[in-house]
Amino acid sequence: MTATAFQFDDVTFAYRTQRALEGVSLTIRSGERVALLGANGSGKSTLLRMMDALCFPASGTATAFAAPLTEAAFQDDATNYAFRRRVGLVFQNPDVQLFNPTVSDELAFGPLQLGWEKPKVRDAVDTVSARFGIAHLKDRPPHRLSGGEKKRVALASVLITEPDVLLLDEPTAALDPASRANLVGFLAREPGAGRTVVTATHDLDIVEDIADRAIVLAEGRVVADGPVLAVLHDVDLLRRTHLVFEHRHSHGGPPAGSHGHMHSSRQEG
Amino acid sequence: MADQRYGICGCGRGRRGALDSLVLGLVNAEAYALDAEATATRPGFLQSVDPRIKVLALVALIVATTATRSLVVLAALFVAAVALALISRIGPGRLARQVWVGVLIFSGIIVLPAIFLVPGTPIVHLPVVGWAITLQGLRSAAFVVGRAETAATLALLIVLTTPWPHVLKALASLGVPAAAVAVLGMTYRYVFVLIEAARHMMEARRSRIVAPLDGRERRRMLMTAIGMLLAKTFALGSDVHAAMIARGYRGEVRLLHDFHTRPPDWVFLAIALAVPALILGLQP
Amino acid sequence: MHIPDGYLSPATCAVAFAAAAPVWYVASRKVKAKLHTKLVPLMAVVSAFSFVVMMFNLPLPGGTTGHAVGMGLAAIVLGPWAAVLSISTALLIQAVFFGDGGITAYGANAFNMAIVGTFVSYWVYVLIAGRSAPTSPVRAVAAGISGYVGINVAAFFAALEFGIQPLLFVDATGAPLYAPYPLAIAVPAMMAGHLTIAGLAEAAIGAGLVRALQRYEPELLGAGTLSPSAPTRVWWQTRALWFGLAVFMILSPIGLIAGGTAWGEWSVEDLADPAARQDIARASGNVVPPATVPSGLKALDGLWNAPFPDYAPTFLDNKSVGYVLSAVMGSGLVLLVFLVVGALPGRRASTRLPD
Repeated sequence: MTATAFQFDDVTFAYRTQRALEGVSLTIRSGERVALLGANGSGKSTLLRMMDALCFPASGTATAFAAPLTEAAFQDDATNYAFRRRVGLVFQNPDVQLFNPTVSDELAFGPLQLGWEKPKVRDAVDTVSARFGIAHLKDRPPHRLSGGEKKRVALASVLITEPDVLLLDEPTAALDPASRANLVGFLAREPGAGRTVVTATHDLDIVEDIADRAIVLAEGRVVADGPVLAVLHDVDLLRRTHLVFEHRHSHGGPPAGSHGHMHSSRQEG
Repeated sequence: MADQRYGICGCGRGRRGALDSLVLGLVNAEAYALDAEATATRPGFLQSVDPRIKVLALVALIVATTATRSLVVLAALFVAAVALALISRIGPGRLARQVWVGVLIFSGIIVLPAIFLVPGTPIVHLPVVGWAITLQGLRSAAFVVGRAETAATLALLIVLTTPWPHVLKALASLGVPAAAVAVLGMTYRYVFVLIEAARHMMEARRSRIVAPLDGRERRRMLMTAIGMLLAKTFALGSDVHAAMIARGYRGEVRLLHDFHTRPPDWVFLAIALAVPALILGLQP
Repeated sequence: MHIPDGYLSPATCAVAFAAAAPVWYVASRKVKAKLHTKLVPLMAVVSAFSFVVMMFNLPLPGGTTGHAVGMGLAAIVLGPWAAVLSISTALLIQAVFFGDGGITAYGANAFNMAIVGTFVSYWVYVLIAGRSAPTSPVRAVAAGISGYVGINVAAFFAALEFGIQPLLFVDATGAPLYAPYPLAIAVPAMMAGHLTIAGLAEAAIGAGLVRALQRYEPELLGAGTLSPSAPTRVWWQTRALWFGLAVFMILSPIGLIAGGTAWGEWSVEDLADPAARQDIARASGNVVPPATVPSGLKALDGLWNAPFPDYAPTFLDNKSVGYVLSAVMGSGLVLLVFLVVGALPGRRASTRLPD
């Protein structure tokens, strides 16, 4: 029996007056690879942020590694550091994720904040930049990186502290096809055995490669939870939750005329 | 790329349409930064000096420029600035384009009336109007323009020979609080994010405009754009904070910097510090 | 209004740095307590925003354009202390990286715009906005007026700094070593542009930005920034500061008068000369300087002298000494005031920052 990473019971959350999560209950075990699926505004980003203790339940209870996720608990420095060491989140927008003057500062930020000794930080920066193929970018400012490079730096800046849990928000948003394939290949093999990976996305094409279990959210509620393939084959469910849409187009010429088929929406608007 | 000018704010620059000049200004700011970053990583004398020493030394020379009371010394400092530029592989053409012409126009317009207005010994009378150019007026105009040109040249050398992150780390190791250095670094970072956002916004708008807009419509459009930029600014602020917390930020900024000075760095600093000291010391 | 290097003497620059330093110190003390909040990134993005907004040249009635500094907005959103640091940051990047404003003059620019401009804007905003609802149109009007007043007071300080240069710093031939125009030219020339173009741009952008905030981020204008009782409290708690600044303003010129410089006469001659006036007019954007200014200033001269009848002539013959002394007195007073304000219990004295 593996340990429980996250346990949510009847959790609700609202931004200002707008409901983001409504009675969400779920359990994620250590080592699981989970995809959070849902259209924009379905609550998946909020759920991800809650798993990273960036926001806390308005009602209901949430725990990470059996410790409560509450604002009060995170006032305590020791609790906070212990949690930040175990859980890392890669934000969707690289301009948000990369706020340091250079790539090497970016990589060093997390370890320095977690109180690592400076020589150890320098070693880790060298190791991780070699591993992610970004050693040649170390002195570059983030605004001189391509979209794919930014994503790699963002991932490296989180994985440098070797967290047990990796949370990813729309990792393939706004990437060109080559960078996207590159990233998916990386996500499929790199996080490695034993690491819990939770990916929020509406890019259905990548789900099979990066997750074993899929949780579908719609309007802040969990509407499906099961093995990836079972969820991906439930076309009715996907259509109801706006993850796919019927696309009618014509193939030019002969009698058949137009036909309809399903498309997933790949890019964030 | 034509107008990567260093210095003097954009008020009243050019007579292009407000939109065009805005987009051009945004593009130029980006191009200027790119260009400076490229120059800063090329080999050259100042590029090789420890950033802390360099910042101190060039600021000392700028202080000397403002402190001197002799036009000859001022000229010598100007020559020294150009020489430093040359051995750092920054050509006079580039200095002229980025500093000299702009500063001359800006300061020239401001001090031109002074050659008539400053009371003193008349040296020439203008024909027709009969205004007198005074020796004192001419000297004061020379002082202002000379100082402004020399100081701006030296200041540009800091930028063109030091990657911005090194300036930040130099400040940190010179004792500026880490939080202040972090704000400076993030400001610089987000200046470019916002410039890009503004540029996209304005280009999108410009492509949709068919008829020329009158002043009020242009103003309204620019105000809408500024409002949207502000909304984006605050969204960025909140999200960046979340990203910092996610990686363990608790209100204390920690920085990594490792600069090593070499003996020639100290020689350079000693010379640079001696200049203002001598000027101030020898001055009556 | 970004003063370049070479226009102000090192002594003036040093005094400006000395005047700014205690404010920066108190501001960073205030901000330090809030570092765990989102203040650090918020200060960074607001200063980046103020930087970018300066590139927006707004078409103004009359066919001219002008750009704003956005200092009023920073003060409204961040509170004055954080805004001081935020605008100072933007000014530093402008000075070092883009060459807008000098490096030796950075202290003066920061003092004028980041400190005086910010506090004046904030105070005017709080005074007018009062207890109005965060979404009330009064807030937009308040922001517009506060921006207008703030930038003009800042410009006035810059003009003072320019204007005292030729009185204090001349070479052996009598040629001014720095900015060559005396107060009677510098002040009207500077104010003409700011009372009209720059002030209008600041007002339009200030009001427009608050309207945008009301639409997108009303909570930044709401309880987060000003508690219901804040306006009067803020005014009350910072009254000493305003008093100190006023004293500082008055004392600096007294230093000149103390030095025995008859600065009023200088300008009377110039302004009476039509040719000279034309040149001034050209330099100041086609606004003819009023010939009556010197007499007005002369009247003030008497006023300023009045409270200290013995102070001037008796023990101060050297004008530089007089100037420095009064500046030291002024900045000492400001320092004292800030320390007093800073010593007030933090929660009361600091204005609320968004958490």
